[in-house]
Order: sequence, then C-alpha cells, then structure tokens
Amino acid sequence: MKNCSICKTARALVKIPSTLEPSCKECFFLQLETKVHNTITLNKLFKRGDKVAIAVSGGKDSTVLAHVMTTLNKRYDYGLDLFLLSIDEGITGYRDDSLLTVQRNREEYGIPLKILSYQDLYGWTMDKIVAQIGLKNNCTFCGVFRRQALDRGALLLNVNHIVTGHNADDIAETVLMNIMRGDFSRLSRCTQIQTATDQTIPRSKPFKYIYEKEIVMYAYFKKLDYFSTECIYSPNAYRGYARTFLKDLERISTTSILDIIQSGESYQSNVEVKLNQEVEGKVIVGNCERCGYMSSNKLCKACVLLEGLNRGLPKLGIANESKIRKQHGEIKTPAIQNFKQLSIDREIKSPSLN
Amino acid sequence: MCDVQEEMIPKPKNNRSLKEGFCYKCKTEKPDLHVRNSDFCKSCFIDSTIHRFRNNLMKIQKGNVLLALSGGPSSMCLLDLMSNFNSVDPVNKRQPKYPNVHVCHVDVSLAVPQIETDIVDKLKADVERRNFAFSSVKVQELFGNSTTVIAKDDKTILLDVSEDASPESRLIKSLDSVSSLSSREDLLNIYIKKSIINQAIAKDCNIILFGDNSTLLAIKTIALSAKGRGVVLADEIALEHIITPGDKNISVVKPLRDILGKEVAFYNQFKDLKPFNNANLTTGLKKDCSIDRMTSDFIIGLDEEFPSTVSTITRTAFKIKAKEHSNLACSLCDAPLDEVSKFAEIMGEEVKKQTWKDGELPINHVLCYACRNISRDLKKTLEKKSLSGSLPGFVSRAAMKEQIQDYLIE
Repeated sequence: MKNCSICKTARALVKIPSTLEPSCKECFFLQLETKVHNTITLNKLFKRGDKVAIAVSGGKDSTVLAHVMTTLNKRYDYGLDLFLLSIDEGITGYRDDSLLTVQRNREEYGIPLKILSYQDLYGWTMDKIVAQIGLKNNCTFCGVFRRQALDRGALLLNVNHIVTGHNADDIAETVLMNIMRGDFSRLSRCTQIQTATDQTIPRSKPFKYIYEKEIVMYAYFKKLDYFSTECIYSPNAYRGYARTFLKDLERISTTSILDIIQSGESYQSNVEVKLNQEVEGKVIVGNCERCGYMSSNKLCKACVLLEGLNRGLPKLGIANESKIRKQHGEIKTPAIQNFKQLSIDREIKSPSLN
Repeated sequence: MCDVQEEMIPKPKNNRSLKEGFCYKCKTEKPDLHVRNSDFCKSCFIDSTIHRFRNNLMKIQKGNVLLALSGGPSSMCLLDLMSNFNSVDPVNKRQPKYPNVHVCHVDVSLAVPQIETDIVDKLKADVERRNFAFSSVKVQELFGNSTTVIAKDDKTILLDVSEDASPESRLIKSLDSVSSLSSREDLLNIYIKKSIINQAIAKDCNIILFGDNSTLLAIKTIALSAKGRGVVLADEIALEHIITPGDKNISVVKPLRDILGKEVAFYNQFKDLKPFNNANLTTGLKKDCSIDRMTSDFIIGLDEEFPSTVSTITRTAFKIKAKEHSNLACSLCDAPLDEVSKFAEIMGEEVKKQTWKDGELPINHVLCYACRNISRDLKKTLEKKSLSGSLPGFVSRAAMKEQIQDYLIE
C-alpha cells in the first residue's frame, strides 16, 4: 500500500496528474488549492476589498472555481466580495439545464448570483439566431455577444474583477492552435494570466496551471456536481486537431501541458495596444459610437452583428465588414443600452443584492 | 473560432498556373512537379531553389564556414547547394564568397546502432570530390576531452564525471539514465550540437551552416513548444543567430529555411543525390514513442491534408521574439536560464530545489526549465498511461471515476 508522498502518513488515493506523485485526498486538495493560491498571490491578481465576479456556466471548471475561490477567500482572508455571474445564451436543452447547477452553487456558498440573458441584452436568444442564420457562423455571434455580456454583467454587479475557469489544457490548446492557424497576435496574448485594458474590467484565469484532470478529480472527491455536455450548436469540430495532438502529447509526457504554457509565456509580441491614442494617424482602440463599448472601429462588432440580425441580413455582419460599417455608421438610434450608463442602471434580480 | 464549418487552417489559394499545362515560371516547358500550389519544370525548380539558398546566404557576413553534414536528405541538399554556390561565376572568375568551407560529420553510431557503418567513408569521398575539407567526430568524444566541458559545473547531477570511465561508456550511461525516449533524444541532440560547435572552434570557423528545411523548422516549432523550450525557439529557427561559446562569436545559419522538405526531396532526386540512411533513436518504433517523432508525424500528416500548414507555422514562428532573459546559460543546453520563475514557485518547486540533494547546487540555478524536466525524468519510473473519455449529461460519479481512473491508487 502506497503512502501519500506529501504527508507520508495517509494512504495514497490518487496520482497528481502533472507529476504522477501519489497523494492522499486531503493533500491533493491542498496542493491544488495552494497552486491556485500561489497563482493569485504571486501575480497579485486581487487586492483587499475587491469585488470579484466568478463567471460560472455550471460546467466543471467554473463549478470547481467557485468552490476553490470561496474556500481560499475564507482560508487566507483575501477580503474579497465574491459574486457569481452567468450568461444565459438561450440555448434550450443546454444552458437552461446548466443554470440549475449555478443556482445550486448560489445556495451552497451564499454568494449573490446574477444571470444575464442574451434575450434581455440583445433581444435575441441563440435559439432564435440559429433559427435565422443556421449552423454556420453561429459561434461568431455567441462569442462576440458573450464577451460583451460578461463585461455588462460585471458592470451591473459593480465588480472590479472577473475570474474565469480556463484551465491549463485550454490554454495549451490555444497556444498550439494559434501557432497552427498563424494567429500571432492571439498567440502572444493567450497565455497572459490577466487581460485588461482601460476600458474593460480585468479578467483573470486562476486555473491557468491546473490540469483538466485535476479539476475533475477535485470535483469527484469533493462530490461537486456539474453539468457537462458539448454545446448543441457546436459539436466536436471545435479545436479538433490541437486537442487530439495535445492528448497524444500528454500521453508521452505528463508535463507537456505545462511545458507548452511555459513556452507560450516566452512568446512576446513587441506591439503594444494603445487606447484612444493615434498611432500613425489611426486610433487603434476607441469606443463604439452606438453603445460605448471598446471597439477598434466606429461600431463595435456586437452592434454590427445585431444590426444585421435586426435587419434580417445576418450575413452582412460576417462578410465584407467594412462595407456594412460604412452603411450603418451614421445611424443614431442606440440598439443596445449604452454601455457606460449600465453601471448606474441596476435591475438585479438576485434577492441577496439590494 | 469554433464554428462547425470553419476551417482551422486556411484553404490553399487557387492554382497560380497562368498557362494551363505548362511550367508556372517559364511557361514553355511541361511541368515536372507540383509544389506550393504551382507546377514547375525541372530546371525552373532547381533555379528557384538555388536562388532562395543564395538569397539567404548573401545576407550573411564573410568568414570561415563549417557545414554540418549528417548525411540525411536536407544536409546532402545543403552540401550540393553550397558547392554550387562556390562554383558560380566561371566567367568573372571571382573569388567565391566563402573560400574556406569545412564539412563536419558527427558520428552517432554508438548511440544509434542502425546507422550504416560505412557512412563516414562515403561522406568523406563525396565531400572531398567537391574540394571541401572533411572531418568526422564521434559524439562520445565530447565526454573524453578535458577541454570539452558539457557541464560547466561539476555539481550537476546529469553527467557522470568519474575520471576512469571511458567516453563510450559515459555516453551510453548518460543516455540510459533517462527513462523517456523524448529526454534521450533531447540529450543526444544537445550533444550533437555541442560537438559541432566544438568543431567550429577547433577549425576556427565563425559560421555554422545547418540543413534545417522549412518542414523541419515547423516540426521544431511545435516540438520545442511542447517540450517547454519556447525561450530558445526564436533563435532555433532564425536564419542567423549568434552564439558566444567561450570568447568567440559564431553565427549559426539555416540557409534552407525557406525550402520545404518536399522540395529538398525533389532537388535531391533531380540532382541525383543519394542521402544516407539517417536513422535516429526512434527509427523503427511506434509513432507515439517520443515528442519529436509524434510531432513530426502530426505536422507531415496535417500538411498532406492542408498543404499550407508548414508555411503557416513557420511564418508565425518567425515573428516570435523571445522575452528578455538573463545572461546566465543552462549548463546542459546553453539556453538562457529563467530566473526561478513565478511558474516554478506556483508549482511549488522552490521547496524541492532546497532538498534535491545535499551538497549539490540547486538544480534551478544550473538548468533551464526544459532541462529540469529531463533531470526529473532521471528518477521517474512510474508507469504512464493514457487518458481519454467524454462526459455525458450530468456527470455520474461512475463516469467521473472512469475519467480519472488511471490516477487513482486503489
């Protein structure tokens, strides 16, 4: 019978995926939590009194993230005000089920929860969007809308930080995929622990160094339930090559996921993004004229896509973009609620918030 | 990014051929081959290959050249292109740019027994026919010569420094001491590179030519990333990068970096060059035996499906700039040392560093990130197993257990 390599006394129950060292249940929890704690403290992600929104979907990563964040906040007395933030894309049979998990989390941890729906924000659910445009390019809509929705939700909750459950596997996969697709600007950004500009609320990935396997193990032994299915509108095509290759690599060398992140961190871009400043006569990042959200063009991508949907011409938002921007650049009526005004506006349904 | 019908890799553009059924360049000859979405005739193709090689070499300063020759397809192609480069311009009879070319072969037959035994003699004959100087060193000589230091510090645990052992046994022992084939490949590659650099110093050469072609560089990009050697990637795939062993400045040049592996094969075929059996440590083994081997299979396979894979990867990788790093070099591979980074601290390595072994230098201060992985491999004997599986609906505990099964100790 093997003993735990950390405490040396208890019976080992698991092998820690990144090192394959035998460990007992309690030491496994502790080493995972400590890794997250180190990630948070060494990168100085938060300061005392910060209001932090945990982006939760009901999946394994965010469920475990919510658990670990509440645990660490208590154990190390970070002094953080935690909130749960969910985005309801309006996908029947997928998101409505997973939101039940989120509701349970709220009850368990006693943290306020805010659910924002695409329907409320944009007047469209993903079901309706797919009904109109079909299964091609639907993820473009969902991705663009979700990015803004999280920022809008964070403003509604009046938080100054968002944490997401991206794990080490996700990041390593993105590094590989960006090399293979030739997306250099994303390659140099995708390993950053925190992404922030002046205009948006900083976002961090405390699980950057945590393997997917570790998260499943944590959920298994802590008896956390989560919801897991692939999105019904995005079957397996997603990141196929990079994912398969990464799984193969992991089979050869258990550290390869961390190795790729370590490599990715050293790939620096020497281009700096400047906000509202002219570079060679052009403003690189400014604000959307219509909704005020950060945008590198007159209108932000979400407004363009929405305009296309509302006019019954969804393809316009995807192909030949400059043309559409020209056509619609002049329109004054705001389609989405002004981004900056959102911070004053509070329609928070959560009972624990005033 | 995740659309069902979105292509991860852009589709190749339309065939560039302007005149149907003829060579894309001269438009008079029938095409002999199809590369880069175009048809070429034999002579146009050879000209274009020579042109790309010359173009790269003209960017490099003058000096004494050491050409690294393994005998594989790329290095044989490099050798032929180099002798072509030196023989041009018979009319003006100008002195060639590089009058002093020394060809060096590193003999790894002790580590890789499958290599043909007479390869050194055949290479020597070929090289001397082209009026280049030739030398061959055995990789184990690195261990025997007291002036050839691998570990700058004798407290590194990786190398056996006992005086009485023969260089041969020390090489074998060094390679056998690591459990995974990936680490063994890494070590052997480091030794080969060191041997070549030592030869360059010995022969007073300030330029080293390597035969890495575009396909090999794409594989290297992914493999180095996967091994945590990202910090040296920019240098490893650059056309020219300067290394400073001792007090010397040596340019490491890869003049074939714009030529695809397929083009190398066509060039060799048209010029009737016969590469030797360039067996390596993974020859004859399964494709998932090492990171290098698997990456190579993956990229070549992907490139067959999406012909622009290699150029997309290399174009991206050429833009990478390494972040600022310390001047300290890894004792094993000479990569810049990461100052015991946040990363190591987060993973709790700081503690291990102190307790690694009494009386020895902390490993973090001697080895770079990737070489620390090799050193960890020295003791790792735990069985590695694969994991896969997808999770249905609300995950049942049984399904979760199945997913993490291999990591449970019952």
